[in-house]
Amino acid sequence: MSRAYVLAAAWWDADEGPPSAELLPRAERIAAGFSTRILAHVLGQISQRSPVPPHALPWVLGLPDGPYESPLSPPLREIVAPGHCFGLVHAGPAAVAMALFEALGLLTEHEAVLVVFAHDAAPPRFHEPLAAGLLLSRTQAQSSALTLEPPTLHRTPSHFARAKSTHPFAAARALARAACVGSPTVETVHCCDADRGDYWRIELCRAI
Amino acid sequence: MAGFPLTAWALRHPWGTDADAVLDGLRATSAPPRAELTPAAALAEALLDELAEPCARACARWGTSRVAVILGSAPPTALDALDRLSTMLSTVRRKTSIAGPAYHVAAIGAGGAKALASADRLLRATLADAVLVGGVDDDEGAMLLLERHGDAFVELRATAEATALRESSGLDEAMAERAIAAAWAAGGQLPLGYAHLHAHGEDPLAAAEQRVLAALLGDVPRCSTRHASTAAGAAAGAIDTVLAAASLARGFTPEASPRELEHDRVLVHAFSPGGHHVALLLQARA
Repeated sequence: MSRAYVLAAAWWDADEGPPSAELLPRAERIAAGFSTRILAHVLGQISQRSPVPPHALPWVLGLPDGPYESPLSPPLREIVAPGHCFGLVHAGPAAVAMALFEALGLLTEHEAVLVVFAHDAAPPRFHEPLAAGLLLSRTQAQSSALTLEPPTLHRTPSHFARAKSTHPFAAARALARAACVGSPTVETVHCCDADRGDYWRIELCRAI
Repeated sequence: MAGFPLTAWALRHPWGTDADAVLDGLRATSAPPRAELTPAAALAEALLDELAEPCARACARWGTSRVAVILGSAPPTALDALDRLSTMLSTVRRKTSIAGPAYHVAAIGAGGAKALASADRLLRATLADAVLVGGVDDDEGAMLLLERHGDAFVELRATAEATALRESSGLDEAMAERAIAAAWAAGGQLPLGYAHLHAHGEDPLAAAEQRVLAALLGDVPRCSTRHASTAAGAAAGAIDTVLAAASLARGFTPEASPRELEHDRVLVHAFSPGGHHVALLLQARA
């Protein structure tokens, strides 16, 4: 089975204060939508922590369900993904697990992959705005204390599998937080049919 | 590196309910009558009905959680929300036993091709053992079952993707070249029967695509079937792939005056205004 080393991670939520979108030129920053700015904040943090410049990486953008306005404005895309394959993955409540599958698949062709999530507080589902990102590599680096295991499907009564938050990207934030402090964790997300009670288990393990 | 067999496929097209009908339609002197518009959800149900048995066999063989679903789509918008797409994934789960990874990948005009590239990577990474892949638009769609092993006449030998720096309505020749060259190289640069192009003759982008293909592959026969198609996003690429696989099975190019294939390989190219370029290498199995 494919697993990946976590080289860097970052997240933004309201507790972080106003997003710093300094990756974007000033004129673009003023004009950028909120989801673009929180994504730029996360990418800026990952840039500082990453041994690989994000613009040299292919990447995957995970999207939840609901009406959608891309956080990936053209200037941000030119900064983070010039000339690299990238994917927009959407899968309802399972978006975090599914984007990680897509990223793990990309590691068959690339040394490292950036997987990011950004969600503005858009109607009709008023979740808090949230962005998170993980930089994954197929080889271990000095900074990689954790490995990401491929998500696994579990079937248990729904009360047991209940996610810790209804936010579609809560698991991504939890993974990023754990990765930033090098702490193993297990997160769960519902599969696309939440009423079936199936869930995806996502595990960060200590790298050996 | 071995390819992955296409163990089953199904297609719905305004010209008919199978690939042979569409290939025959290409040879007709006048376009066959178009069927009435069928919504994507109804088409998805029909495709899944047709693939029910192969999907059940794959689930029994590999385990339901080892069978994945990847569908192409156009990027979601406020008018075409993701909820509709999530519903389609739920339809797949309802009509099959598939319980593995299930998601959409977005690329206008190349969604199905991009889904095939993602499926290829999931299989190579051993993240799944079979993938139901494709895309469905209103009026047309295609789904294919790709497995790690199995009986099939055609296999997906290699895939490659490249993304342009800037979104544009044109074709990025450098990225097209990168994707096509990478897929062809991964397949050993063996001679091709024909190249299945994205842009048809009347498309303003056709000349650029022809130029890239000619520079890379030389005098390989080149065909496009998209003038027979209205696929906007989700089905695009998946329909091309089914028609290319069926053409390999027939041994003739898909065009008004078919040429006999001299080699049993086809390279399918698809691209989107978002700058995605996808190249897929199909090969007949010995």
